[in-house]
Amino acid sequence: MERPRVSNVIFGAAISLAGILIWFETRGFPTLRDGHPGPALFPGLLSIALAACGVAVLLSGLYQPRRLAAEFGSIRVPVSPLLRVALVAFLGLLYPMFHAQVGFVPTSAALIFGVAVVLRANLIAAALTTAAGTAIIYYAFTRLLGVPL
Amino acid sequence: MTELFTWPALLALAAGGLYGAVFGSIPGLTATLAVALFIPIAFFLDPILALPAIISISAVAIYAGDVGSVIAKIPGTPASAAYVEELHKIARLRGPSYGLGISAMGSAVGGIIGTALLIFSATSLAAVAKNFSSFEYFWIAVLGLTAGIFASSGSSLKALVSLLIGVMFSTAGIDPTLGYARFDFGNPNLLGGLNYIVAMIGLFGFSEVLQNVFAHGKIDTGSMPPSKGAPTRQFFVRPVLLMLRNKMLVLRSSLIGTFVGFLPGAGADIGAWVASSFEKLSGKRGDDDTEEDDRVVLAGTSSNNAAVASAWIPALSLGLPGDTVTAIVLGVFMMKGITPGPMLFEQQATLVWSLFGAFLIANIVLLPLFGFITARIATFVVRIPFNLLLGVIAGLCVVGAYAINNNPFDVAVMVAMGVFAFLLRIGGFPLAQVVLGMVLGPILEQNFMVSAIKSRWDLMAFFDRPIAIGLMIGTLVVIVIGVRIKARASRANAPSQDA
Repeated sequence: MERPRVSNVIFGAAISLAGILIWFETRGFPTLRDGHPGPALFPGLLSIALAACGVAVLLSGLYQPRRLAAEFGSIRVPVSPLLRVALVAFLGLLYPMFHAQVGFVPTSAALIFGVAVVLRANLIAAALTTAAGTAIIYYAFTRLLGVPL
Repeated sequence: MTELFTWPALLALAAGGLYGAVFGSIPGLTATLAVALFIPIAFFLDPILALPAIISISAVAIYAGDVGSVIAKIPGTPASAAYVEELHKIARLRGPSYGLGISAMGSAVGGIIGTALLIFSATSLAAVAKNFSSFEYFWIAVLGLTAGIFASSGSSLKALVSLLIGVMFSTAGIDPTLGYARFDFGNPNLLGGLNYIVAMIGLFGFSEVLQNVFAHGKIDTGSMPPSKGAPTRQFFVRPVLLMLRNKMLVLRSSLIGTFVGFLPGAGADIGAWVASSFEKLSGKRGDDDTEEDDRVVLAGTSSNNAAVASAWIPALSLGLPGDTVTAIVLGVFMMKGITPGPMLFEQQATLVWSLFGAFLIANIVLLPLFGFITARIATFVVRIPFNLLLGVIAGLCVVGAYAINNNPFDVAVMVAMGVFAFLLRIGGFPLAQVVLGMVLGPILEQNFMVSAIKSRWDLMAFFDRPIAIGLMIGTLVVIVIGVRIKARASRANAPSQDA
C-alpha cells in the first residue's frame, strides 16, 4: 500500500460508520419471549466489535500525524483506473439487468470484449476472443451442463 | 476406494490436473480462483467425480504456480511468492527443468506426507468429534476464528476486521432462533442469506479481474532461460537426488506445512512462507554452499502441498475450512446434500476413502506427470495474453454465479462482492478471513444459541464440559502464541520500516 495511513483513516472511518449503522438496524430486531436476546444478539455484538476495530484502524492511520499529512499532500486520486473498474463492474451487471430482454450471449460478449478493450488488447484479437469465449461458455453451460442461460 | 478407479473418475482426476496445471501456470491466476471457477461444473457432477477433480486441481495448480516464477519471476500463485527469487535464480543458473523439477518433486513428497497425516488425523479427529455437543462446536468455531486472525501474514487487526465482516455477512437472512429475517432489505432473494459460494466467486474471481483492470493487467513474461541437459534427468533425477541429500529438510517442511494447513484460514500460502523463511534463517552453511537456494525452494514447495492436504483435516472431520479451497469444498458438500463432520466417515466412508485415494494419485502420478508436461510447455503457457484472458474469466464468473441457483440476483451479489473485495484489497484487508467468517459464522451463532437456550442462559455451562474447556484453553494458547509471533515479527520489521 503506497499510503497506508491515509488508507487506514478512510477505511477505519468507513468501518466504524458501518458498525454504528448496523447497530442501529439491530435495535429493531425482536427479543426471545422470556426477554433474552434473540436475532439481535450476534449482529449487535458484531457491529460493536466492527465499530471498535474501525476506530483502531483509524487511529493506526492517525499515528505519526506528520507522515499522515505528507501522505495526504501527495494524494492523487487514480480517476482513470477507478473509472475502468466501475465500467467493468457495470458490464458484469449487464446480465442480471438485461438477461430477460437480450439473454446471455450479448451481455457476456459485451463483458468479455469490454474487459479486453479496457486492458488495451488488440481489437481484432479481442473480437475473436470474445466470439470464441462466449461460444464456448454458452455451449458448455447450456448443452453440456443444462444451465438455462 | 474402488469407485475412484473407474474411467470417469480417473478422467475427472486427470482433467482436473490438466486444468490446474494450465491455470496455475498463468501468473495472477490462483489455485483458489481455479477451484472457484470449477464450482458450476462441480455442481452438475457426482461427488465422486467433482471432489477428486478439485483435489487434483488444487494440488497441481499450487505446483504450477512456480512456472511463472521460473519464466518471468512472477509467482503464479501466492504460495509461490515465498521463494520466487530463489527459484528464478536456480532456473537462470541451472535451467528451468531443474527448477521446476525441484518444485514438482518437493510438492509431490510434501503432498504425500500431508496426505498420510490427513488420513491418520482426520479419522482420529472424527472419532473424537462424535462426542461433541453444541458447546464443543461453539468453542471449535471460536478456536477457528481466533486462529484465522493470527494466520494472516499481514496486520492481525485487519484480519480481525475481515473476519468480523465475514461473520456479519453470515447473519443475513433468517435467524436460527425466531426465524426473523435480518438484513434482507425487503428482497426475498436475501431471505436465505448470502450464498458464500457465490460470494467466493466474487471475492476471488471478479475482484481479481477488477484488480488487474485497476493495475492495467500488465505482466512482462520475460524470456525463457536456456534449457541445460536432458530434460528427464533435469526434472526427475537431479531433484530426487537433492531430496535424498536433504531428507530431514523435506520432512520438517512437510510437517510445518501440515500444521499450518490445519489451522483455519492459513493454507498453502502461509505454509510456504513459514517453511521457506525457516530454511532461509537457519539453512546458511557457508560461502561454498551451492545448494542454499535449492533447499529454500524445496522447503517451500514441500510445505505448500502438505498444507493443501492437511487443510482437509478440519474440513472432513469437523466441517471447518482449513483454507479457501476447502471452504469451497464444504459448499460443494452442502450442494450435494452431504454434511461434513464426524458422521461423514460412517455415512460416506466410500467417498472419504476415495478422497484420500485421489490425494495419493494426484501427488504420486498427476503432479510429476503434469509437472513435466508443464515444464516442457512453460514458455507457451505464460505467454497467453493476460488482457484477453481476464475478459473470459469475468464471463466465467458471471455464468458460474448464475449456474449455482439459476438466479440472476446471484450475479449481482457476485459483482457486489467483487467490488467489495477489490476495496478490501486496496485497504490491505485479507480476503480469506472474510470467507472463514462466512463459513464459521453460522456454526458459531447456531451452536451458541442452542447451547444458551439449552442451559437456560446459564453461560457457565460453556465451561462445564472437559472437551469444551480443552478447546477454550486451546483458544487461549493460540492467542498467546499468535500475539508473541506477531510481536516478534513486528519488532523484526520495525527498523526496515523506519529506514
